[in-house]
Amino acid sequence: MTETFVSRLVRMVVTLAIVSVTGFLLLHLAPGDPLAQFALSPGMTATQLGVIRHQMGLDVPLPLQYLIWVKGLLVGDWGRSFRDHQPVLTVIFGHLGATLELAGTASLLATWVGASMGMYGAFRQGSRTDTLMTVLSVVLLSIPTFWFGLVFISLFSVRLGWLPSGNIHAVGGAFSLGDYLRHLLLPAVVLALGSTAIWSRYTRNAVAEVLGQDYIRTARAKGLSPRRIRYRHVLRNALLPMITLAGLQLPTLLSGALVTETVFTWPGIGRLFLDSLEYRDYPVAMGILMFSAVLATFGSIVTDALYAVADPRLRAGRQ
Amino acid sequence: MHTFRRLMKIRTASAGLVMVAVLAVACTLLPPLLPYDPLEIDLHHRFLPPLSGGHVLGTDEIGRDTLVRLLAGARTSLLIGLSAMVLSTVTGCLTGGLTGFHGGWTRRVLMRIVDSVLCFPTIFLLLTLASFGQPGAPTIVGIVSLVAWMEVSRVVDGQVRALRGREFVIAVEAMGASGVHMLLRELLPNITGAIIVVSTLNVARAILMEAYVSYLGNGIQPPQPSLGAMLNDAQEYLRPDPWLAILPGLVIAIAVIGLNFVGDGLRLAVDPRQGRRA
Repeated sequence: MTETFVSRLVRMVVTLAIVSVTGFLLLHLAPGDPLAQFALSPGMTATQLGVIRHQMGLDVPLPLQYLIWVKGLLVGDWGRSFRDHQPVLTVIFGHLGATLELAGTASLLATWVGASMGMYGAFRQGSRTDTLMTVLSVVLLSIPTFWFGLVFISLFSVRLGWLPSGNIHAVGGAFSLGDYLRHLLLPAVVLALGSTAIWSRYTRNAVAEVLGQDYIRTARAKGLSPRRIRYRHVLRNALLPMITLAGLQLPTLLSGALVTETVFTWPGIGRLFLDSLEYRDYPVAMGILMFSAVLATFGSIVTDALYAVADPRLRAGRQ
Repeated sequence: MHTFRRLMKIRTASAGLVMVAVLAVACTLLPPLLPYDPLEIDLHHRFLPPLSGGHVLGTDEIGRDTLVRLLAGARTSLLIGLSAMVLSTVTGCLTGGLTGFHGGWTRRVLMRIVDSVLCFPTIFLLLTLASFGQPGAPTIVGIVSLVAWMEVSRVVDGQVRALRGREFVIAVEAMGASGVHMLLRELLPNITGAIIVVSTLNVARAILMEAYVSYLGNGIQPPQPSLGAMLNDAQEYLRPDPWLAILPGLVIAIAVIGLNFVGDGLRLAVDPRQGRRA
């Protein structure tokens, strides 16, 4: 157990190292210059630009820049934003809350609706509802998220005027829970659509697979109540593949949040990321990249741990 | 032929095939028959709703015919999807075949790279990679393939490794066949089914990715019509003309749903055993 844990940790560090090098190179070598925002100001001279470049630490060779950045990363100094000179961690944590609220609501919604759909379909395989839901999940997965965003805005905000079309709360108004929830509803539903479909497909397959097992037939033959079989025998065993999915969904949700936040002008980390790419704000972009990479690798470790909890066979101490 | 007949028996798969075929035929044959050009501006007839003024699906914010633009955009999407599929399938088969066949270090290195790339949010990769080249169709094909080959590689790697220990492969090896012969003549033909399935689903994914990149402004550049870019433009005109936002999405949906249905159907048709389990 300790050995697998150590090797897993090593693997995680290697992965993060590759991610950081690739990300750093991609960002810095891509055309565009963070100084573009200064170069446009009137009266800017080449000497002044040189000073700014030096202060940003962009005048040293790229490998050295990388090492300086990594050193800072390890001691908790993630650099400062090129845009407003705020520490990167402050900027990230300032936007993280909004994204967690959005992605959290969306994933709760997706898990609950999707898993229910999947279970329903698996228990009534071949029924009309089952077919309909299978088709529906392919449809949901085949349409870009932002299209749903646009259609929902056009219907619920522009046409019907029921819900706001963007932002996290009404401009200028005092904070109220109702107002916040009204703003949260549309983006959360849009972000949840894709993962709902994935959850539904996945749950359906997992449950159907368990239903075909011999021990379910045995349980039926023993005369256990359908309810007991369903919860004790089927769901408990179908839980395993579903835990894997929960771990895998983490990075996907972040990617989806990027687009959803853009459509609904939600002030979260996804929009911050797109903005920082556009401004060539390297420290912030790299910070978010590393943050989500750590989250993704961490997600897979938590998945494994949960796996051990759910499956006694995998628990420590057994060969 | 058996596979095709099995495929046609799956209702969603045949429906998907029809959807893709209709779309492909429409965007090749229809444009020359229509009296409009996708770039032709007509400021006297802006924001026409569908079925008015001789424009079947109306016009956009500068009076260009929506139907013609949709068809041109769909053709670009399909072509990008197909080219990206070819490129990613070839790369994926080569790398996956190599690692599955040799295993060991080559495999470990490749899997580490694949894992790391999967750590990046897809949109980040697409957008940063897009900024390296001239925005346009060839660049999109390149970056989409760069993101999509891994899926193929993983599948081929797994399949080759599974077949590597089977009797017929060992028999050929014992007869003194070269590695290249074994890979190309014995292993790959046996996993064509799996490769076709991933490739079909990859065409769908590539079309979606093109839509995302163009929507975020780094793909096909205006005035060239692209479904994603049309959605981006439509965003500003949701109030006067919601059709501009609804229609391009529907075209993307037809293409991607159709391809996904075919892909899912193929999965069952190629390997009936898997179908019964799933």
